[in-house]
Amino acid sequence: MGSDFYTTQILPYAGIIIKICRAYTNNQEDFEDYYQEVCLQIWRSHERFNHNCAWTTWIYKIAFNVCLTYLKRQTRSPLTFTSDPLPEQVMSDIQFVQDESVRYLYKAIHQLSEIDRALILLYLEQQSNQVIAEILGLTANNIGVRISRIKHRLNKLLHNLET
Amino acid sequence: MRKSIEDIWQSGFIDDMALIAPKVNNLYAMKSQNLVDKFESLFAANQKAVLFAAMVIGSAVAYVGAPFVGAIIAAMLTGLVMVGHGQLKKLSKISKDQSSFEYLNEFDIWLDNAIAQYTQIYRFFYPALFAICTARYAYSDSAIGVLTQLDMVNSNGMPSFTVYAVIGLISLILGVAGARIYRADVTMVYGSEIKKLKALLNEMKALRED
Repeated sequence: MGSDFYTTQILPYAGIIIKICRAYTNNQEDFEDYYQEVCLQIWRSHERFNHNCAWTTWIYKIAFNVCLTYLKRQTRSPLTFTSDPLPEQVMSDIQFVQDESVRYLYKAIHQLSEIDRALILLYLEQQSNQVIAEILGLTANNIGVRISRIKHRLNKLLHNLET
Repeated sequence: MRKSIEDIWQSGFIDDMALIAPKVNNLYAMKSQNLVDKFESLFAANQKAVLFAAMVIGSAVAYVGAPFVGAIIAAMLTGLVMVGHGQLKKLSKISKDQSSFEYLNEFDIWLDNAIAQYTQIYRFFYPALFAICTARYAYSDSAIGVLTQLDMVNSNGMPSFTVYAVIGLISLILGVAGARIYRADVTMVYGSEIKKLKALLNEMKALRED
């Protein structure tokens, strides 16, 4: 990868990629693999960027598409998606963020379905329903209702985790 | 009072080391672990292997005295390469910068088409390959010798109808088995991924229709 491209076009938006990759992984090794894969795909696809949307929207699209179709490297069995529900003991290892509340929130997010994770992450990143619809290919009208349901579920999960 | 999830998110990452990007090593040479890319490289590798096999088998069969059969086998394998090339072209058009639904849906459609096309091909490919090779071999001196001992030659000293009936029956079984073996192979290697892909898509479709 051209280091200039990484420094100027990806690194300033690394926060977006990190937050997404963290939501789809449960340990540091996987997280770094996902992060690198997203960067690789951004670099591979960047010539297709045609300014029809914001660069951040474009990064979101690639990041979610990569995370939704990432094949985890495994040594013994065939490659598999890593979308299986995370076991409790693994989720308790999420120590990457210092803020305990965010840690609990990530634990709760990990218990959501993959699509719900994408929806809530985009909502928390203050993206409008229109942009969320554009990134995920959903109908803007349905997003608000779904997000309310996810928030309700997250609050319940958070309550359970904190008590 | 507990903070809202919005407040937790907005304040939680301020001055936090969590948003420091990990070191990217050797990214340029990295092999992709993306499902679509994996299929793309698998198809590309298969094409090269089949093309190589077409040349080697075609030449070898021609060398042992059956150039016509060699040419047919080479042509059949080349046809397989061309089908693979067409699928690969379609697959490489699936772009990762479209919406998640479009991306997953396009890949799902491609996958269904590719599996259906190859199932059809293998339904005829294996039986045809077997029938051509055995029918040709049945006319060789060594085969006629064996068939004579088995009393399976006609009055002209050529393989009898029974020989062709057996070849036909085995070809038929291969036709049914070939398609099933291919499907079982795909299911064994990518079954869980395909299942999860369908589940993801179904959830998105339901969300679009709500």
